[in-house]
Amino acid sequence: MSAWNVIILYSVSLILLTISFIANKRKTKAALKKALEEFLKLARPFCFFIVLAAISLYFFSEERISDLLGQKNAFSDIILAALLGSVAALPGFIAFPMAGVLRGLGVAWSVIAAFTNSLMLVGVLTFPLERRVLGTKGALMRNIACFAIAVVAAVAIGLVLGDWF
Amino acid sequence: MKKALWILAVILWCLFLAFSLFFSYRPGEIIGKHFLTFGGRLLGLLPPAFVLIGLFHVWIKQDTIMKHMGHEAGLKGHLWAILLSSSILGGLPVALPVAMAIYSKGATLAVAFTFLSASCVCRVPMTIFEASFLGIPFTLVRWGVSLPLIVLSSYTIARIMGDEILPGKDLNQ
Repeated sequence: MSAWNVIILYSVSLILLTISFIANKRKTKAALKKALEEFLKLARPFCFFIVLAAISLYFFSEERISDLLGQKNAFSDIILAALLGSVAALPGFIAFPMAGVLRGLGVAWSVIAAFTNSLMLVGVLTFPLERRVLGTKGALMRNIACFAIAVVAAVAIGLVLGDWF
Repeated sequence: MKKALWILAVILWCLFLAFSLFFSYRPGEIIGKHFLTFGGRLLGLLPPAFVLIGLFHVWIKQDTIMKHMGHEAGLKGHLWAILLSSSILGGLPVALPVAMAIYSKGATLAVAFTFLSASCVCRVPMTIFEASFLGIPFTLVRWGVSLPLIVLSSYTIARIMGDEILPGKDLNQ
């Protein structure tokens, strides 16, 4: 699954690069230069992000998160789950199967949703990277807004899928 | 000064990993392993992603982006941003430079923010995974609730920021 995406991404960019090269060599050269420039601008925050993610993966491993979220069904646990999702770095292909297992164990839909929503939407770990591009104020506002959205969507999922009624 | 600090941090990080390996310090070893696998996965995505961003910069006309995602595009610009964001692979680290590319080409601040947050919500590969493990209703409710709220929050953030120009904007377009 994950490998196929990468193969598609490489194929698409290679095909487009070839078409661009046939159409206009000078422009293609400029595009590659631009690509490198853009990458170098973000290289340092990228490295910093990888270090933060590695540390987070140790402290908030799959097992640890499973333990913390297990048997959680109270309304207040939604916030705990959302906070956990904000600082975790689990990739989707680990987080979603884990969420499926947690559901099997009887964890509330809303708690699971709060975790996966904020895992995707809120980036405490990507903050140094986001700050470079959006500015501190912009990055802060986006993350706070997205935290609220993650919680609201989790409550809605709980309501629709029957957590409380 | 900042550069010296950066180099010092890199040296310390390498030392930490080397010592962990040498003295079999478990947490350090695990963190090192995550560093390599996670970093490897991300770095594997970056070359094609940045090539696409470079091609976008060279081939797409500023007028096109301004027309479809600029001020006169209104809500339609947000729809385009959401559609485009669903094709992103690799999450925020990849979505950020793409958002800056469309913003530099004349998309409004609100559209750039919508693109970023929407890329967290409706990336296709991630969504397929989610729906297969948590069910389609779960995904549908999540989309239905988060997407309108994301557009709303983007308008609000853009209103608060006013005419402020984001540091990531490429001014020599």
